[in-house]
Amino acid sequence: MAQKAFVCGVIATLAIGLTSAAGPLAARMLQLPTGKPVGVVAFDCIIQANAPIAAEKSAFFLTYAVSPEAIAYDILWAEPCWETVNFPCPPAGLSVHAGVDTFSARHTLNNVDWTHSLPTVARGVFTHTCNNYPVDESRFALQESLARRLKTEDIPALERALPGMSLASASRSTIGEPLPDRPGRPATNVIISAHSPDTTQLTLSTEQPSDVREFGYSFVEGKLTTLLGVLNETTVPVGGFEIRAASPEFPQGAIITQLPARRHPGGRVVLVTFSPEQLGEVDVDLPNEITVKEQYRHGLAQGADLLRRATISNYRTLPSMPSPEAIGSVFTTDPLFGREQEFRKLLASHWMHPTDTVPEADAAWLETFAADCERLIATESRLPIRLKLRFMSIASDLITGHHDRAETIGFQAYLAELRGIGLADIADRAAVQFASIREDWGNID
Amino acid sequence: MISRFPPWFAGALTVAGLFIIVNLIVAAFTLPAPPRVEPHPRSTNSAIDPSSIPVTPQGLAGEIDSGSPTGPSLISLEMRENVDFLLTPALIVQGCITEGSIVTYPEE
Repeated sequence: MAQKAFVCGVIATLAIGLTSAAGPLAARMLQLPTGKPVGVVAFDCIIQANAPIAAEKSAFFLTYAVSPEAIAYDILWAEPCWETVNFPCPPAGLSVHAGVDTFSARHTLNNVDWTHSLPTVARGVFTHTCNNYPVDESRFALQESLARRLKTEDIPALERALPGMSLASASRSTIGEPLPDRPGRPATNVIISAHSPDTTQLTLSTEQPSDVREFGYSFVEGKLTTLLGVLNETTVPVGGFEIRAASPEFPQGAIITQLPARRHPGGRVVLVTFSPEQLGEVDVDLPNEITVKEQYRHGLAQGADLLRRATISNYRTLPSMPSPEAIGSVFTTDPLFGREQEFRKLLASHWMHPTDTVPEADAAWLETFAADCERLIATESRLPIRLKLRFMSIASDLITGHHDRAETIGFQAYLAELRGIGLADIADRAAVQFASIREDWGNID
Repeated sequence: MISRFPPWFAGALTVAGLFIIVNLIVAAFTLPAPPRVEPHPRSTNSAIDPSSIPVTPQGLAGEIDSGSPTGPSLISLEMRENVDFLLTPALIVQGCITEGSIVTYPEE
C-alpha cells in the first residue's frame, strides 16, 4: 500500500513538474501580447480617412468607451466642415454602441436610430454602389473581427506551429497548423515564421487562396511596442450593374440591377504602435497610433499611400460601460444642445443667402450665439468641441454679414487648430473653400 | 464647387458619387447595341473589330464596374473600409483589456 502511494506520489510530482514547466517554456519560446483586465476604458481619437478613389480627405474626432464585452463611440466633430464630408451620413452626432446582443447606431442631431440584434447572418454579397455604405452595416465587420480574434485557447496550436515543433502538419497536405474551430471563424491555418524574445511573426491563412494575413509583434523588455500587419488581397463578392441600352432586343431601356462580381480591396499594410499606460493599478500596453497604407498602388519602397490614421490619446477608466439606452447622451447632455439645434435650423434657412434677407430677430439671435461661442472657446479644453464652436461662430458671422471678422479672427484661429494637429491638407482645402464661400455669398439662384 | 446646402447637412452622397451616377446613366444610353451580322464590317484603328466581340449585359456591366478607376462598387468598398475602420481602435483596445485575448489587428 505504502509502495503504491509512493509510486502515485512520484507520478503526480512528475506530472505537476511537467505541467508547470510547459507554461514558462512555451512563453519563453513564443512571445505573444495578451489582454489584461482593467475594467472599462475610455479614450479620445482623431481618425484621418483618405479616399483616393473618391479624391476625398476627411477627419473624424471621436470619443470611445470599451469594455471586454462592449464598445461604443461618438463622433463629436468631423472635417471638412465647409463642404460635404465623405461619409454615409453627416458624421458629427453619430453614435454607435455594440454589445453582446445588439448593435445600435443613433444620429442624435437628426433623431435617427438603427438597431440590430446580434449575432446576425453573414454579410453576403456587397451591393452598395456610388459611394454608399449604411453605417449600421459595421455590425458585420464587428462580428467578423471578433470571430477571427486570436485567443489564449489558440496558443497550443500557435506553439505547434513553431518551426520544428509540428507533429501534425507533416502528415497533412495543408501548410501550417490549424487553429481550433470557432463559430464565425473560417478554417484558419497558422505558420510561425520567426520568433525570439523580442519578435514574433505569424501568418494566418484560410481556404481562400488570397486570404493571407501576416502579423509581426515587436517587444522591448517584454512590452509590446509595435504590431505590423500585411493584409493581403481578400476577395469580396460584390454586386455589380447590369445595364441595357434601349434597343429592339432590350425594349425595357436602361435598367440597373445586381450582378455578382468580385473585387479585391486588400493589399493593406498596417502599423500599430503601443505605449504603456497606467490604468488604476495595472500597467497595460495600449495603442497610440494606427496607420493603414495601401501596398500595391506604388509599392512600399516608393512610399505607400496613407489610407487611414488613428491617433489615440487621453486613456482613462470609467466606473461602468455606458448602457445601450444612453447612446448619444454625450450630445443631449451638452448644455448647448438646444441652442445648437436652433443654430442648425437658422443655418439651413440662411446659408449663402444675402445678409439683407435675414430677419432681424434671426440675425440678433445669431450674433448673441456667436459671442457666446467665442466665450466658450476660451475655456473649452476638448479640441473637437472647440472646432465645433469655432465653426458655429464663423458661420453665424457669415450669415450676419461680418465676413471680415469671420475671416481675419475666427477662421485663422480655426486653421491654426487644424494645422496644429497635423491636418494641414484639410486646413489648406478649407482655406480654398472658405474663399469661394465668401466670393459666392449671396449668389443664390 | 460651392454647395447650395449648408455644411453639416450634406454628408451623404458626395460629388464623386453623383459623378458616377451621371456617368452610368449616360453610359446606359450610349452603350453599343448587341452585335449584328453586317455585310461590310466597319473599319477601325483597332486590330480587333469591336463588332466581332460578343456583347452581353454581364460583359458590359463588368466593363463598367472593373474598367473604370471610379467603379461604382470599388468606391463603395472604399467607403466601407473607412466606415468600418471607426471600430478598429476600439477592437484593438478591447483585445488589450480582455483576459484570454491575444492582441491582434481586426479585419476590415
